[in-house]
Amino acid sequence: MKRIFLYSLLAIVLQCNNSEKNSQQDYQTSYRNRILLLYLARPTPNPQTACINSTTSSGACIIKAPDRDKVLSAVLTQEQYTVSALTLGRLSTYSAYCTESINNIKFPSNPQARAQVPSDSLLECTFNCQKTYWDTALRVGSCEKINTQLLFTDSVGKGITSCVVNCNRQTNNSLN
Amino acid sequence: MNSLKINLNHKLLLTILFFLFIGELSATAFRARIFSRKKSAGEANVRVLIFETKKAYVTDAEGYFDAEVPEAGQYTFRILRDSGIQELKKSVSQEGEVITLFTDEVAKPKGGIDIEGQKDKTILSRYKVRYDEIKRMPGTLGEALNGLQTLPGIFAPPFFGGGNTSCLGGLVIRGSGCNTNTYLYDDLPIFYAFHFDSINSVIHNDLIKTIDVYTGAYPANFANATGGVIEIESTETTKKRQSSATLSLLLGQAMYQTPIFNGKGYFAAGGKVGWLDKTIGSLGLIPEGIRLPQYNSSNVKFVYNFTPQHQISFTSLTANDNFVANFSSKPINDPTQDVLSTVAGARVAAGQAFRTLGLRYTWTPGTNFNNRLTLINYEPIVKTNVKFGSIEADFLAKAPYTGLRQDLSWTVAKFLKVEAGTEYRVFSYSVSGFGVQQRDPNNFSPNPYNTTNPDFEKRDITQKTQSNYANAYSTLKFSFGNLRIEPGARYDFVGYSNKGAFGPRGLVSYKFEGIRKGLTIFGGAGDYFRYPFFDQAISRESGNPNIDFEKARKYGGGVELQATDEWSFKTEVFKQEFRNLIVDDPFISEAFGLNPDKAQWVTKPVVTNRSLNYSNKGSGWAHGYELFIKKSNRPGTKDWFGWISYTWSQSFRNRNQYSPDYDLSKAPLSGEEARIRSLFPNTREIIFENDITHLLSVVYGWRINEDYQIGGRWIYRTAFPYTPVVGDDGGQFRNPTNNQTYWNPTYSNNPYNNDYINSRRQAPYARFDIRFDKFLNYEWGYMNLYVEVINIFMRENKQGENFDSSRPYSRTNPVPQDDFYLLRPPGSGFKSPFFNIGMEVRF
Repeated sequence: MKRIFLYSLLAIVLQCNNSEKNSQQDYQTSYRNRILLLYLARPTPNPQTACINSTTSSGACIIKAPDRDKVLSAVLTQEQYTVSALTLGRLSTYSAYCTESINNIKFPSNPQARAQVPSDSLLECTFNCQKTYWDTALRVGSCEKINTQLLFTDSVGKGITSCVVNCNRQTNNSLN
Repeated sequence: MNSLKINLNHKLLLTILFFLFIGELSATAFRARIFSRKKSAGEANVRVLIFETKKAYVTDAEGYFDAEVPEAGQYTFRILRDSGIQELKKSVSQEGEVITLFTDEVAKPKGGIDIEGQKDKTILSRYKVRYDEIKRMPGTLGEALNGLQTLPGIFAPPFFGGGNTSCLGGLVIRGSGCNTNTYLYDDLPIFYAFHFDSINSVIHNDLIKTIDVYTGAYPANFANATGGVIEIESTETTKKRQSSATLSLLLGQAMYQTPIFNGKGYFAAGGKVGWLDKTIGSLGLIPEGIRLPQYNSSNVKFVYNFTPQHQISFTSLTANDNFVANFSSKPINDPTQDVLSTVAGARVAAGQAFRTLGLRYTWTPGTNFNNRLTLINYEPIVKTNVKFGSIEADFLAKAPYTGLRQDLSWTVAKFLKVEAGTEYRVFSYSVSGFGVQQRDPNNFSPNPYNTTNPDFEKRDITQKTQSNYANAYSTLKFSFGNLRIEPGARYDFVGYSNKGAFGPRGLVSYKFEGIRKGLTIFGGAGDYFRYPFFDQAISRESGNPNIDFEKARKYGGGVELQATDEWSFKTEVFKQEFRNLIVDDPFISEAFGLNPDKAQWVTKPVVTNRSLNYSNKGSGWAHGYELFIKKSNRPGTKDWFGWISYTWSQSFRNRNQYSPDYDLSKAPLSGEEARIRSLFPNTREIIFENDITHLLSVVYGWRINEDYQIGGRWIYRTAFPYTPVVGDDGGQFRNPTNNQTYWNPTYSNNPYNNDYINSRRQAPYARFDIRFDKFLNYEWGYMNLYVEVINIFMRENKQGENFDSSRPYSRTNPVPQDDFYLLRPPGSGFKSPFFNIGMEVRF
């Protein structure tokens, strides 16, 4: 009888100690574990690939723009047409264009801008936002109606603002 | 100015003249009882001599006798028996009091009806203030509770003026936050002890018997404070009907108390109304940037003794405070904070109020045991009206609870007394009203001053969170001769978040009888905690439901020497360690949840990393030493009294978060990367916003004769730290309707320069106040007229600084904020000390 009493007392004390420790750390520990795991489990950011994907989507859209060069767009491939339009004929492949763009962002000539170089993760996220913009434009049919210049301006401006902000936000992020 | 003074005095003089007629001297009358604990009855037909007045009395069949003394104070009662003389010392604090003189040594039960209330209290970090000592203290503007500010370790942040204005009449005790104290009136909770002006208390002066202030390690029967505990005891009984009315420039108050049911019961009621804004405020003498409060409060108490063993009492306390103030912007330059708080020029009209109802049943079956059951209904309310630009937020936050509390005290043996209690409450936190939210969440430079096409709109923010709370405590009081050991423990549990906190504490003291009148050394420590019942932090919708108790570990020790009957010296050393402090946390989140922005529930109902907004990351510490030298009045003589109190302390805080201010790389990061960084806190310790290095108070009072009393009080303290303004935002906001540009102050975000948070202090604050009382005694009572001159040396004290948003940053903007206690008519260079005139009528 005495033993049962002592054991149950021990169990109660241990349970109380345990539950207090657990409850003290629960929300902070679970936050820490979750963030660490997500960070470790994510793939290495690859802005180059994201850039290529986003530029590919942009190509699919601007090839349909009402002010496209009808001659060139019939002769050149989608890739050549898009990159030529973006670089005024200097380059012709997505990868070359992306490499140059990313280098310009990461190693700016302006010394003041060097402190504001975004990280790879943010770059990748921004490019993904652009891809979403272009895919949506394709899906809703804006490509046939809006001029090229305006399409591009929006793709780095108000068209992607809320998406980029979501990339930056520490809390309350959108699901996708 | 002189003409203004005459104008005011004119009306008062007329009123006084109306009442002037000569009457005879009225002394302090009281009733006393000679009681034998062993016989559990009064001692009939014994002669009692009051040594100081040399008057003798004979007790009636129940041991009572009526007596008179010239004034309140401590007196020596000699009980003359055939077997010899027994001498007892007792203090008479006020007119009409009933005191009990125990003729034998048995431990006092708690709360019995015959007991005067001299509880067996701890000596560690406790200061007992007698009502008569602080009632007429100068510089308190007629408010007794204000006298607490002169005790060691207590700082009352100025309500008026720049710097940190979030204290609103609270007290900073030994470097703890001003909202971490517990205020109790007869063990019933009150939300705040002072009205908004930090001058007047919510309790009518004449219904206060004593005030006990626990500044450090306090006993287990008090809950929910990592700062200090202020326990106000009310009067419990009176011999005859009494009433009083007081009128002054600041407020009016009235009180009425009477015995009922042939002495078996007692009824008291008191009330106050403040009209500072209508008197001094309307004269235009108050410095720019300060608004004035309006308030009222009431307290009612009813006591009935069925028999000496059974007593019930009912208490009701209410208070209501409102004011309009011009706040400078929040001195934290953190872009992750709420966008509202970084916009300057916000005007806040706020109010706070509370209502406490207590029904108590006390059972005293014998002298060794006493049990008390109290049913409490308590409701604290905070009203906020924030207006910036053209947008208004108007809401009411409440945290009411209904609870049942039980306290018992049991004298087990001669050397041991046990105190234990439990409590159960059902509480809730609710907000009702409208908050402000951005119309378009994708607009990243909203203009709060645009009145034609506003970027902000009102949004309903009504919400309610409910839970229950339970606690239990126990203290064992051992006394072995002069050694006292009091271990105790307390456990609190909140059902809502399933969080509990266990706090052991202990006190030890030893008294050396041989050294003068007694030398006591004492020491104690304990774990204390506080749950933020009335804080958005616990809200299910906009807070963190898993928030934990804030904790503090306190240590203290010291020496007290009673050198003579009048002189006493006390010195104490303390240290407090805070942890689990609640801080605004822009990173803490749960994996997913409902979108906090209800307007987006159609397009985006669920979000990931759903913000929790608050976490327990903060920590801090405070340490220091205190010195208290006191001279009490020699009773029966027109002697002087006073004390010197000095505190040296330091207090620091650390948010323990990741702050981009400390991150040398300022490159933009993705949310993912920012969250990872948030796991590695980099903030450093920052000095506490109410850190006061030196705090010195000298109080002096002298009753010259029956008709006149004079008193003086000198305060000197280091200024509190503030965050300096380093620039403005370039006037980026402008109201398109009237083209008015607003400049918002900016603060340093570089912790490595000397402009960072809390890096500046103004010159030390010093003030000398005097008070002059005249007593006019009549048959029906007495009248007390007083004149108070505050800041008689007209020192231009500064409290932080004040930035004018209608002008850009310059050498003249910001300017140091002038202290409230110096009157300056606008436009003239003339200045005068702050003054108060009042009259109290007691009948």
